[in-house]
Amino acid sequence: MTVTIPKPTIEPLGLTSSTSPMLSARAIRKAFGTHVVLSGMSLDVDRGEVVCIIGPSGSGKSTFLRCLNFLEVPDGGGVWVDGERIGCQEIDGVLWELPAPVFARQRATMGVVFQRFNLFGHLTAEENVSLGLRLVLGLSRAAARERAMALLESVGMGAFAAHRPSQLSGGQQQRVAIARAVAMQPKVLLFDEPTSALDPELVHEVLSVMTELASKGMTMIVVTHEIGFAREVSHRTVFMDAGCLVEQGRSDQILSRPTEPRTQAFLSRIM
Amino acid sequence: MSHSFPSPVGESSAELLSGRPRALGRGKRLLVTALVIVLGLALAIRIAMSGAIAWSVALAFFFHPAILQGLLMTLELTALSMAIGVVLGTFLAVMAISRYPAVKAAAMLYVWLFRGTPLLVQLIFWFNIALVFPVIGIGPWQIPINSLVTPFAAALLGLGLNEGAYMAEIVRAGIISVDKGQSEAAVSVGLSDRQVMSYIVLPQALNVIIPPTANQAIGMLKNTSLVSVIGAQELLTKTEDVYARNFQVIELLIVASVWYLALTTLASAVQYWLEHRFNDARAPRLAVMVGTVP
Repeated sequence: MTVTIPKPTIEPLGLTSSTSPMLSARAIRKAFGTHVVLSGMSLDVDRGEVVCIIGPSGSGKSTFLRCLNFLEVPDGGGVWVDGERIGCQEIDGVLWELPAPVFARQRATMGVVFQRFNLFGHLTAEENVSLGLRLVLGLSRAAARERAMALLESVGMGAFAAHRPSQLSGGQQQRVAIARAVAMQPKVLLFDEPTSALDPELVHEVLSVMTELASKGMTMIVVTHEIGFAREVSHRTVFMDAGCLVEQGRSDQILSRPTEPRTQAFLSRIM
Repeated sequence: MSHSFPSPVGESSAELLSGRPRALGRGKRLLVTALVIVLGLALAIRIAMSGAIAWSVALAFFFHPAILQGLLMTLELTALSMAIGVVLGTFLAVMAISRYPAVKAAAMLYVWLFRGTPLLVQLIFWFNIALVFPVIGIGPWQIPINSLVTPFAAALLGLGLNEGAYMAEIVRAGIISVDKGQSEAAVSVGLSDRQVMSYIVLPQALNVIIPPTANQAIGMLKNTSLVSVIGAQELLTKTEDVYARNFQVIELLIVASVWYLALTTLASAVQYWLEHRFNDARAPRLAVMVGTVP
């Protein structure tokens, strides 16, 4: 896995999809009021690559992840997935936001797994997974149900298809949430601290589902504090601090022999 | 090394008093209860014995056709006005969270206007709308407003538009109560804004919307009596019609009051049932049924 150092330019990448990155974020800036959270964060992620983003709390890693699919609209910079610019289009040198239906459809190409699971509370596990299949991909109720059941089986939740989120443990909810995100056949999966809200004994079941996804070649960006997962599963680890990328490289290198003092200080605090 | 702690009540447990301690002030409670009963009875006897109320007349008019017609009209007005209020309120609530400032302002202005003026004034206003717009229509098609705005139509306009303002606030509170993460998850799956609202947010907002809406419906049952000022033929209008002829004012008002009480009691029972149904996670919930309609 080669590590590409992102250039500070804001330009779409070539459309030769086999060589270009699956996801490319360029010079993302975001401020809430006067508080600057991201000051020009860039990241390229290759097809099938698993990238972990680590860093102290408040370093902007979650905001960066949310900027990737425009849950937070970035103040500057751009995001390309598979060569397609997210949320915006350029017409005659002016950047416009995308029409709502196009934008909605585009968002489905990026799955998000949230820290607090965010399963739809009024729907069963199966309905949580099949809703998008029906409403966005236009599957029939029966076809959506069939695919949802297969996905729930794949995350070990087949027996809980008729359960409501309130009847499931945190780990079970997160596995359903992963199935819901995978159901849309996204090009990239974004994980926002997927195990931070879990009881310690439930972390494993979620990480093992994520490990399996990684082994199947899913492109994943994972904001996490799970150093073990980063070391064993992810191809690359990115260390962020104060809204910037400080250091990145092969996970074993970054986690074992970081070169930047800030990375060293952070890792020594949490390990 | 053995060590025995001394028991606070000694070795023999026979002398131990156990169980729930008797509450203090039992005598005082009995005294107050007796006083309330005596006063209540005295009042009831005083009213019954005064001779001023002809109970047989009240009883005779309870199922009088005119009264029953009025009752039916009260129920119709309540149901239709609430329906207008709920639909209008939902639209206003969605408008109030719109990203277009003008739409937002329009919704806020509406609520401000219709909640800020008395319902009675609004009813009289709608009844006299012909003074402002004598005719309505386009080009050669002109209809006199007076043929459209009957007392019934004016009552529906007044009650429904007023209710819309209150329902807007209730629905808005319901929408806000749904965790932001729900709509974030929904848009990340690819749902459009409208789908997020109708499949994810509103169904879950129902838990918060239903109880106060039932409250509003109970209030509406009583507020319909206000339309007697424009003669909309509901329960109070009909009651007034009857006592204008036989002068049994109090007797007829008792008839109307008993009917209003019966309706509100019934509505309260329905409200209680609804709330429990919505709080029970295992019961098939209305929210679920609404949420899965394709």
